[in-house]
This record gives sequence, C-alpha cells and structure tokens, in this order.
Amino acid sequence: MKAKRMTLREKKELRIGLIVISPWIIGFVCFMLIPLIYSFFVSFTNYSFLSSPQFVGLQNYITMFAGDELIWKSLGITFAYAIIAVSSQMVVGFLIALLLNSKVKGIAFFRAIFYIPTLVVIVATSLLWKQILDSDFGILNYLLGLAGIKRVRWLSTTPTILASLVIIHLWGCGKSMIINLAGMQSIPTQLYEAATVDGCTKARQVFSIMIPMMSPTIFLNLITGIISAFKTFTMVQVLTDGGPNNASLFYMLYLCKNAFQYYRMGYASAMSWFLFVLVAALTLLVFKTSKSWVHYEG
Amino acid sequence: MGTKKKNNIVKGIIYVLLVILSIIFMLPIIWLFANSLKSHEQIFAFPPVFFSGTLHWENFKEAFTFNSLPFGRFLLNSTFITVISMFASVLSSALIAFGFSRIRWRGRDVIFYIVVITMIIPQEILITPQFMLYNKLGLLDTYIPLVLPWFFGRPFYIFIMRQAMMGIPRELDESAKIDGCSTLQLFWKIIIPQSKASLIAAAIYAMQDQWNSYLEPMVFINSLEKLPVSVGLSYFSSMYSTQWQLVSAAAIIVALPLLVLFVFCQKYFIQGVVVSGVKG
Repeated sequence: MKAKRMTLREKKELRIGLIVISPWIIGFVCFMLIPLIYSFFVSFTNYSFLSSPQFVGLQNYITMFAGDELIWKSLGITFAYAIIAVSSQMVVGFLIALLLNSKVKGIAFFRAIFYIPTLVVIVATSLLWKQILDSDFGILNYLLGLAGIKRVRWLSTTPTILASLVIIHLWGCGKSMIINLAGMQSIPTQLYEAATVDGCTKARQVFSIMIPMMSPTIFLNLITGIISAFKTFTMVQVLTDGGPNNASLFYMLYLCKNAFQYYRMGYASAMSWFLFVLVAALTLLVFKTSKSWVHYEG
Repeated sequence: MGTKKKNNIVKGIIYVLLVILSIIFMLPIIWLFANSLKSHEQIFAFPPVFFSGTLHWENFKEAFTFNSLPFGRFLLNSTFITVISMFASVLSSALIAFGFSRIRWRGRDVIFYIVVITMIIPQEILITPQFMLYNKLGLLDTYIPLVLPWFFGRPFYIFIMRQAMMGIPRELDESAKIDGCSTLQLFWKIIIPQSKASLIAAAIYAMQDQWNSYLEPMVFINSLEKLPVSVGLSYFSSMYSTQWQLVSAAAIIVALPLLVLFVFCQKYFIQGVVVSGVKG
C-alpha cells in the first residue's frame, strides 16, 4: 500500500464526512445505480410485464441495430434537432447577450423580458405554440401571410416540425443568454482598454478577446445543450406525440412508447443503455476536443 | 464630439434591436393571454384578433370544470408535491454540500467528481427500470416515486451550494469549534445562514423543476385525481374538440405561480443561473 496509514484524527474526519454525505450515497445507490444495473439485466430479456422475463441474449440489441428501422429514424431526427437547435441557440444566446452587455439604460428590464419565456411551464409552452403554429388559425402563418409567404403546415412533416421546435427552443434561450452574459461580464475591462489603445476595432475585440475568454462558458452551453437536446420529450409529446406518421418520433419518445405503450421493457432497457452510451460518448468527444479550444484562466 | 455622436447612434441601434426583440419574445405570451379572453368563435377568426369586444374572463372559471377534469385538484396535488420536494431537496442538498465543502476527509474530491458526473447522466434513461422497480414494490400510483428521491439531495443543487459554502472564511469554523460547537451546530448555526442566497436559488430551481415535471408523473401515476398539473394540463388539449380559450386560461393559471415568483425574486433566479455557468 502506498497510502500512509490514517491517523486517528483522519479516520474520525473520514467517518464524519461520510455520515454527512450519506443521504447522497443512499440516493445514488437506490435511485441511480440499482436502476441502471437492473435495466442492464432486463435488456437481455424479453420482459413484457405480462409474462415473466426470459433470457434472450443479445436479441434486443440485434433487433435494435439490424431489425428496427424506426430506431434509426428516431436517431436521425434527434441528431438533426440536436445539431440545429444547439448551434442556433448558441449563436442567438450569444448575440442577445452581446446586446445586453452594452451599457444602455434599462438593461435589467430587457434581461427579464428575454428570461421570462423560460419560466413558462413546458406543457403550457407546448400548448401555446400549438395555437401559434396552427396552419389555419395560427398567428404565425397570418404574419407570414402579410409578408407574402404561403401557409406552412408546421406540424406536418419532419423538416417543418424540426423548424417549429427550433423556433420554440430559441424563444426559451434565456438561460444560455444569462450564462453568456455572466461570462462576458467576468472578462477584465483592462483587456479591452489595452486593445483599444492598440487600435483594435470593436468587432475584432469580440473575436480576439471576448470569444476566447468566454470559451469555458461556450463549452458549458455546448455540453448542456447537447444533453438536453437528446432528452427532448415533453414538448414533442404534447405537440405531435411523434406524429404524423412518425415524422417527429424523437428517440426518447420512441423509447417511452416501447416501454409504456407496447410494454417491451427489455427492448426499452436496451434503448436506454444505448442512449446512455451515446450521450457519454458525445460528452467525452466534446471534452477531448475542448482541450484545443477552451482556455482556462490560471 | 465625433465619437460621442457615433456612440449615440450605436446606442440608438442597440435600443431599437432590443425593443424589436422584446416584442418578438413577448408576443407568444400576449397571444396566449389574448386567447384566454376570447369566445370560442373568436379563437378561429381569420385574420386573427387580439383583444376585441367583450373579454371573456369567465374562461378562467370555466377552466376549473372543463370536461369534468379536476383542474383544481391537479393544482393542489402539484402544490403539495412541489412544497415537500422543495424543502426536502434543499435541506438534504445543503447538508451534503456541507460535507463536500466544510469537512476535510480523504477521497472527498474524488466522490464529488461522481456527483458532477451524475449531473450529466440523463435522468430519462432511468425511467424504465424505475418503473419496473416501483411496480415490484407496489409503489406505482402513489406520490412516493415522485417525492422520495428529493430527500437524498439533487446533484445540481449540491453543486451550487457547495460553490457558495467554499467561499465562507475558514476562521468562522475555527472560532465556532473553540466555542464548543458540534459539527451539526456548525452546519445549522453558521454555514446555513452564511450560504442563504444559494439555498434560495436552489429552492427556486426545485420549485421550477418539480412544478414542470412531466415524464415521471405521467409514467408513475394512473389515477386521474392524483395527477400533478403539468400532466393534467396536457389532458386539456388531447380532448376531442379543443376549447383553446379554456386551454389558454388553464395554461396561464399553471404558468402564473413561477412568473409571480420571478417578479419578486428575480435576483435569485438570475444568480442561480449565473452560478451554474461558472463551473466550466
């Protein structure tokens, strides 16, 4: 053993520490570890809730990768949404924060306005946008009509549904906006002053000082954005429930349909694990690449 | 003089952009409010109207009896679940954060890494196994699956409170120890009051999270009269003929508590988000 033997005092401290965090340990084991392990075992069975589970080996995984077209469709939809929603949210969240970062009066009021949409309960948001997006009486088509654009059947095909969801997502970008704003305001002003003395333009300062200095913030927004895009469920469930004709079948939606409509628990467990591995791999990938573009102070 | 004039023009442009964007961001909410005060016919009017003729305030009353859905009951259920979850999660998370910040023990930072990693794991993938386990334990259709996990700390709340507790000067602990304070007294009398702002921020997060929670109650609760309001609200639109004016009124009632809270505690809402951003 390379570790030194603990002194009595260290032992006592360790004991107190573990006692104090014990609620977390219990919660972690009961609500995360055990369910994870349990679903790992169930994913190798055909458990359907109606009959007792039978071991089927890799059957669920084979079906997933070779026999189920819907899973690939749902993955494609989820990936497309993740890419469009996360990138556009990062740009819009940044630009609005940039506006709010300027020293004009009443900024707190505007900041509140942009934050308010994130406070509306998700189901209420869905129902609200369902009315706005309605192809016959919705106000969005009316406004587009004024601009000479033909009626769009928003909730009818995959591209238009994705476009709708991205619009709704951007409407609720208040959190990433606030995080960006905080990142901007933590940059020391001397840096800008020095740059101005050197004759650096404002636009140049954004790209050469602000964005590199904010790279940890941008990185955080990227990670949380990707993860939440892959979890997309409530909004789609209320808006379209995956339809029409599976045009908006997101991965989580398909997973829940398998589990709680068709009672294919084994298959749903395999899908859960696949999503887990996928999100972990993506997070790791972003972490790995982050070393080249994220700069930490000190 | 030249630069000052230029500055004013830039400021003017920024104002115009901010005002236009604010209108765009507020329009959906104003539209929802307008729809909640319309008659059934006005909803489908084309071109759309905002506020015209008599305002149908009675929609807010009718929302409570719409299609014999127990909307008032939904609201009570959610209030009950949210209040319990809030207190349970804030207290437990504070204690855990205390263990991760004010007590030194071997392996502390390694275990805290696990806490951070669990923030990244999508809770949604646990819903299937949890459903099977709760079914085995006979706990489906009770509030236990919705509330119990909140008694064991939430990783994100632990994170923001730990951040705040790390900033409290060490000397406070030492002088308290000299005065004969036990670890528990130290936590309760010194650390909790000192990190109050982060506790409030976490409480606000807890309220938002639980009031919004949808997937879990949808899966774990069967009885209509036990549903929380977010699932209950979704039932409003899945009915055969959609009474959008009543749906809108109900949506506003559900959204209102958090909006009112925001008006009074804006500072803590923003602070909570900001703290979550500095972890990078």
